[in-house]
Amino acid sequence: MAGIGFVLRRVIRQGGFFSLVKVALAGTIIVAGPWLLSIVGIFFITKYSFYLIGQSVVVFMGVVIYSYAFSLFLFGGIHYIFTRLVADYMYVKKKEKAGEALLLFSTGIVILASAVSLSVLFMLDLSKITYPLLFRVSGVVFFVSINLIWLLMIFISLLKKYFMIFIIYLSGMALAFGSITFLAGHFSVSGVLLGFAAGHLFIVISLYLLAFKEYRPRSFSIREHLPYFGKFKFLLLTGILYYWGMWIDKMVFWFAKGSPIANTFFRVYDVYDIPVYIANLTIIPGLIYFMIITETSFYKRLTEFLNKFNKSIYHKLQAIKYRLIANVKNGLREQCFFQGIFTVILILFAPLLVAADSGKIFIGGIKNILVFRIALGATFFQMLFLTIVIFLFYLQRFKLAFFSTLSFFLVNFAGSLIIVLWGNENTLGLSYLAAGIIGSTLGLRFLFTSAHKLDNAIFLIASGASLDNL
Amino acid sequence: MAKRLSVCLILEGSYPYIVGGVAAWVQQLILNLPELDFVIYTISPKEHQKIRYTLPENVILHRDIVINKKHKSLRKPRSKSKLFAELKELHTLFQAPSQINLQKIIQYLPEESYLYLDSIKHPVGWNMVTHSNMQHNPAYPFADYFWAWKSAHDMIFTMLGASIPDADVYHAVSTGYAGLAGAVAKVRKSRPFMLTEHGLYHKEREMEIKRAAFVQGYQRDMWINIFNNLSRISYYYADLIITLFEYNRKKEVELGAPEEKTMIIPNGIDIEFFSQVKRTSRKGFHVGLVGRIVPIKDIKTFIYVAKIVATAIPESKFYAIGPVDEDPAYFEDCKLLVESLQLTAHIEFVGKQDVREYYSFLDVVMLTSIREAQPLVILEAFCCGVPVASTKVGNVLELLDYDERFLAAPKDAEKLAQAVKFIYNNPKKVHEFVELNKQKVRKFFDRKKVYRRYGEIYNNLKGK
Repeated sequence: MAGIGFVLRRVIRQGGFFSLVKVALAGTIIVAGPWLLSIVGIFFITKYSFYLIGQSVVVFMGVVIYSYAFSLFLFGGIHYIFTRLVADYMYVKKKEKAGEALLLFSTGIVILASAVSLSVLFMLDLSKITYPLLFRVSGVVFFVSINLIWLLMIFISLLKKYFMIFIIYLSGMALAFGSITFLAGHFSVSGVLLGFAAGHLFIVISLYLLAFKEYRPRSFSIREHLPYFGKFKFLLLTGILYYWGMWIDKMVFWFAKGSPIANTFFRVYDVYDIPVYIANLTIIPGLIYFMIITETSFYKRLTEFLNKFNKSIYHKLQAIKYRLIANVKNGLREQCFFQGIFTVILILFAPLLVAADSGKIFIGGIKNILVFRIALGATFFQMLFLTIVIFLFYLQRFKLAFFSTLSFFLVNFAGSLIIVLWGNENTLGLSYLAAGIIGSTLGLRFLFTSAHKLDNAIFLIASGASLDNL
Repeated sequence: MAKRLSVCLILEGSYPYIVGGVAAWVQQLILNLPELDFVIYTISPKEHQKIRYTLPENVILHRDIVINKKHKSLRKPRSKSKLFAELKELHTLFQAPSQINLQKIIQYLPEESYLYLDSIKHPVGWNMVTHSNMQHNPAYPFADYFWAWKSAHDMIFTMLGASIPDADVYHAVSTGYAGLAGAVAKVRKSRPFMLTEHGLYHKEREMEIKRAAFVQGYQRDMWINIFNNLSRISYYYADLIITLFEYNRKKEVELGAPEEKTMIIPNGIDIEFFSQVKRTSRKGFHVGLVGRIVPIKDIKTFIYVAKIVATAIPESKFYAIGPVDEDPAYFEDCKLLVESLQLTAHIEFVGKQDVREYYSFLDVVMLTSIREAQPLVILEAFCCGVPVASTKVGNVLELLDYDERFLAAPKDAEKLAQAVKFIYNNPKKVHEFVELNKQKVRKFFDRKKVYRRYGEIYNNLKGK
């Protein structure tokens, strides 16, 4: 995203309050537009559907939550490989190859996601639901759609068409509202799911049209793209473990402490789910800061280093390298400070926020303020951890990124089991917090070691070393 | 039946892929010692080169290692930190060759383990590169230095890690990478290692590096140092160091070869074969150059000499006798030069021929080389009774008794032409000189005796 970051930095340099607001708004749309639209959309659709069909909407909610969670849990790793592949093709201006990659990965995802969702939805006991077949088919369409949307979002983000994505998302959500209004009366909860799936299908089709308009594939070759999985296996594993690390505590708590959703094996645990869900939204300022400031200035320094690599004397090269390292330190420090302000304010004023909302909107769903505070700290460190992992990717240190995410996952997994066995409600989220702190600490160590060895690593790669051998 | 003695000949960029010179010597050595088995271990710049000799029956194995290729490591070093400590130590010891110790390096580096990447991945290796750059190359781009360092050292790593064929005696026919392979073989196999230097490898490489425009700055010094150090290692580990003549032996000692290990065995020729030549007089004045048409033989100077001589002696005729296919571009240049100097009626490139036919009627054999060790062509010419005019290279001065009438500095076409004209104008004086040398060659340069000597040396070394 470094490219769009530079554009927004230029706007900030124009000065004035209006420029700052413009950048903040654009940044929010870019980093979290579809995400926020989904959250807001799901919130209102749930409220609206409850009004239309009553309590049976909980099954719809279960399908939606599990679809989002498992789409990332199962296929998140593939997104990392896909991003790398498409970015490489775009860098060498092979447009049709990027289109081919999209087509190939989409086909793979459709097959895998259909298989998973078909198996799960056909195992569900839907005897108390009217039109169960329609519910199942809509569930499959929805799960496949959101998996495709992840891919399409990556692809079109690399094309830097953020505002178009936002408009398409807005239209998709509006279509979902309209469809639900029409279908809920006829088909109850199955109609709600069908309407919601239709809105997402609209988003998928629109994004494909947008993608293939510029990047039309000419052939369909698996052999050409498949070696990326071998070459970047640690990138794939990092992606998988990152999402596992993010979701594992929630899943452990769902099945160990949560309550079932009527007539299904879906389980939720509101005491933890809602604070984490809200805490995740609080890192949007940090993400915007990362996109506009941290990543762009790091990218600038890294490019300077690479551009001067072949022509510089050793002293000069070391000076540029140490400027890059200083830049990483400053960038991380400033980003932590910026995000830290929001996190600390929210931690301090959490009771006031919950009380002010008094259960009217979703903040009121927070039952334990301590858990919310822990979740705020955990998401703060998760944001830092993600930044470090992205920097490790820039330095081609996929193996080290893998070990960092492995620690993130293992700590969260082991910690959540410990909480289930010996903890109480007030310790929820501590494993997530510890995972973020340990993952970030390890990642930071790897990052600075890698930055110090950057010249060495470049020569190693140029001498034929594989990325795994750095 | 007693086991036959096996000798591993270690060769770099010559036999069996190149014709003439050292390669011809190796072929004759093998053919003249049929009672021994030979293993040919060649170091080549590229794969799948055409073999230019029929390998004799007593060659029991031929193994080729491509020096520029990155070979796959099948084994790992035993202790990288100890190995790199030893490699670092080795660099500091080159100025005091008596302390060089390959033993420890080899102990940590099993066969078929190559340090191409480890050398820069390991902190000690990387520090050696950066430190050396700071010391010698602070004002030039580091990347240029790095790649020069890497290409030079990767070839050394290839030789250190390569699998060496088994034999009773190892015999390198030059220092350089062949000499290094010999030293490694001695350490790995605990077998004797001997060295024969026809020319001086490090001096020859130094000349090439100084002429090469693409080697710049400190890189020149680095390459020259590397080649000197490879020679030092070879001298240190060799049980016996043989060279062709005294001048080269002194140069070896200057670079650190222990004097007591050095020995001179000159090259020889087939006396019987060349004694059969019956000299006949042919109309005109005939000058021949026997050698490959390559820059090192400086055929262009031969052409310039022809121009000067043909102007003074219109009936003169010049023959370039030797293969023309080794450097086709150079051959084309020579032909163009002949045309532009309007010498087509005077010069003929006759290709590879039975030289005896030419020795039978040539009035002069000329050698215009810019570098030689002990040119056999002079021995052959004297054996057949043909006078010689030559550049002062290698052992030529000794062979021509330091007689300035027949000698010239390399590239000095005017002086060479004078020598040719002297031969044309003074047939009686020249005949006396040639007769003396004919006797000397027939007595001291019989190759059968030379190869018998090598056979004895192999057996003695094996016994030790």
